[in-house]
Amino acid sequence: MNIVETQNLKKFFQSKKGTVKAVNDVSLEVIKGETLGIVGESGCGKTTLGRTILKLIKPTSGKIYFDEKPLFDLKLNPTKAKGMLEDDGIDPKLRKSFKMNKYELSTNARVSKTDPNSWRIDDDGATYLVKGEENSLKVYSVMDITDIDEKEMRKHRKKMNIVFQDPVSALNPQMTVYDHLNRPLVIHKMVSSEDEKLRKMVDILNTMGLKAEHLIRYPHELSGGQKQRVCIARALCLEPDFLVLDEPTSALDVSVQSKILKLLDRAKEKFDVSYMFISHNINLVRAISDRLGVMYLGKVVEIGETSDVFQDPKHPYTQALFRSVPQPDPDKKVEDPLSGQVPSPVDPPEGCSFADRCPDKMGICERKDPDFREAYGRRVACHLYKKKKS
Amino acid sequence: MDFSTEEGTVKALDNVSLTVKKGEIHGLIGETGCGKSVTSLTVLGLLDNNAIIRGGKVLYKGVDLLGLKEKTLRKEVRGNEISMIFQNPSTSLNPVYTAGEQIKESIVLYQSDDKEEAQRLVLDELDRVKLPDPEDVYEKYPHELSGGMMQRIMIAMMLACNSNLLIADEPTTALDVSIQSQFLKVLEELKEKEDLSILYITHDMAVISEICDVVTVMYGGQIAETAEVHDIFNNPRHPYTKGLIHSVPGVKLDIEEFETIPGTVPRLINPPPGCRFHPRCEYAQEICKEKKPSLEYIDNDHFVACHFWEEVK
Repeated sequence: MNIVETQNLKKFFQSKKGTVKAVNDVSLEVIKGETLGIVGESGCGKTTLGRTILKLIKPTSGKIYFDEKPLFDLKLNPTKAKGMLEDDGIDPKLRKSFKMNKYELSTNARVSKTDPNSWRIDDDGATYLVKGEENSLKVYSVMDITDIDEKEMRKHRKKMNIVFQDPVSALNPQMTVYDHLNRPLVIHKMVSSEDEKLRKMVDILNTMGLKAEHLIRYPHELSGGQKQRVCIARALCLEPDFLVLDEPTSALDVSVQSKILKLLDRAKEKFDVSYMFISHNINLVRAISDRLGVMYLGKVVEIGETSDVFQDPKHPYTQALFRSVPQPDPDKKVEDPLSGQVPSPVDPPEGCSFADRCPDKMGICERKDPDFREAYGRRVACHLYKKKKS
Repeated sequence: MDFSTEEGTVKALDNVSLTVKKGEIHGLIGETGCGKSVTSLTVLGLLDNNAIIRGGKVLYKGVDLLGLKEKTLRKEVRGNEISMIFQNPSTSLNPVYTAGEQIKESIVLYQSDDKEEAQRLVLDELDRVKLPDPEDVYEKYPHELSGGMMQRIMIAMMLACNSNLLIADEPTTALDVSIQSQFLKVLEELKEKEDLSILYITHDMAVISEICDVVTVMYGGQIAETAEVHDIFNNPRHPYTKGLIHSVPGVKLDIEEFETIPGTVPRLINPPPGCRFHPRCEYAQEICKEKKPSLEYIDNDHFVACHFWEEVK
């Protein structure tokens, strides 16, 4: 089950020089309870992706779904049902199957294909996803947050939150830690009495390794690590289901970093929250994430189980990127690092965006952008893996 | 070396001794506020006016730099003998001159004031730091270059002075991994081919292990440990070094196994008595609170400042 799913998400910015394709056709999912790591070099669009998913930036196109819930299995022959879903309208049998499970589809319901094995049914505000899984078709309900306005979005904001890289600029120097935690709790009506509020605040501070006495402190009285822990506490106090962590430890010393990572790991269990962990530090993401997505020039080029991707990276960019990372071991040296530099995301060329730096470039790479397809138990966007299927 | 501030005296450096040998890359590692940058600024005499040097020497080729006049330092040491590059190259370059002109300034000062020859030498320098298409880069303004290219311009400028010692203060912290590894390769080649000595200041253990021959670990303005790079990683004897290495992602692959160092870095206005690390140290005993450990020799140029180094495994 996914807490967040994006389909063909795009975010383009217009600049004087042309169109910046910051997030270009990204389809990925964050599974409930996991940490999805996103790595990539600066300018690859990882931060924009995180912010677009939370709708802090309005997406250009594509879909963002939140909080997938399984409804029922379609009790129809899968091949036949797939045929029904190919039609634009809703087949009566499909309608009946929905009705049997107490989900009525109106006459306005429309079905559209999202990828070879999944479909979306839009019906007056309700969104269903039909996904092919082994020998059955499963129906899920999701919240489509792509087009809802900010007023409506605010209701969902407490379920999804973000922690930024720089805790100094994320905290108001004139507000105490109490003030920082108070605001979200009051705005989202999380507590009914002052007592309950204090108890909640102390509990969350304790989870982050801070004490009640820190409530009366101002940001300048805290160390960098403590400030970041306050930011995380603030994000967690609304008991979100999904948290985007955008380089949360990049501004901190290593000994502080490891402490914060441990606290984040503990908080994940306690609050049953899923993380999207964005970082350029590849060794770090390797340690903390269950699955890993690698971004290059606005696209996710490879996504899969962290251990698989590390043991056997498939995309030539992933391979070169991992090769370039220095390891904290004097016997392991970087050989043959990635050459050249990331090209400008303004009007990227036709074809694969990595083609001009790729050691495995073929004729097709400059003409056609590779599809993001299943291979070796993960998804890879590379022409090398055209016919190979896991 | 102390800093006098409104809040009191900051004991920024306490009895710091380290040696950079010819043709060696010496890594200086430590966390924020441990005194690693201040050490390098002391070497070049670039400290602010509120700095008071209480004692000690900075010996460069046998000459005590602390005894030299500002004018001598500027004319004969900085640039000529010792150069420095900083963390953020975009603030070190002048935005209104092209990259080539800025390097030419060094050439004219230190090598040749013949216009055409200087221009040719600039192109040579750009080639030496592996910048593609030197003619093109020559005409570029800093804002047209990437961070990695700017950092290489800084090195080219340094090379143009024919310095023998390079002090690099967090030179790759602002760079991406691919650019960082290209940059590190350039430094290694310069060491190999031209016998350049480098004092490399960073907080990144992975970078240290990648290019350094010798490593010095600093904590709270003091030296905790110095050793050959393999010894530091495989046989750390200071509890702080050990904690630092085990909190680096990559040494341990699972978050569960990460070690953390409790507490925070001490403020140097009022540093803990005895060993400055004792409030955070798992090996600490009574003596650590009272007596400052001296830098002891273990073997193979491995020095450590800890009363209980024999117990640290």
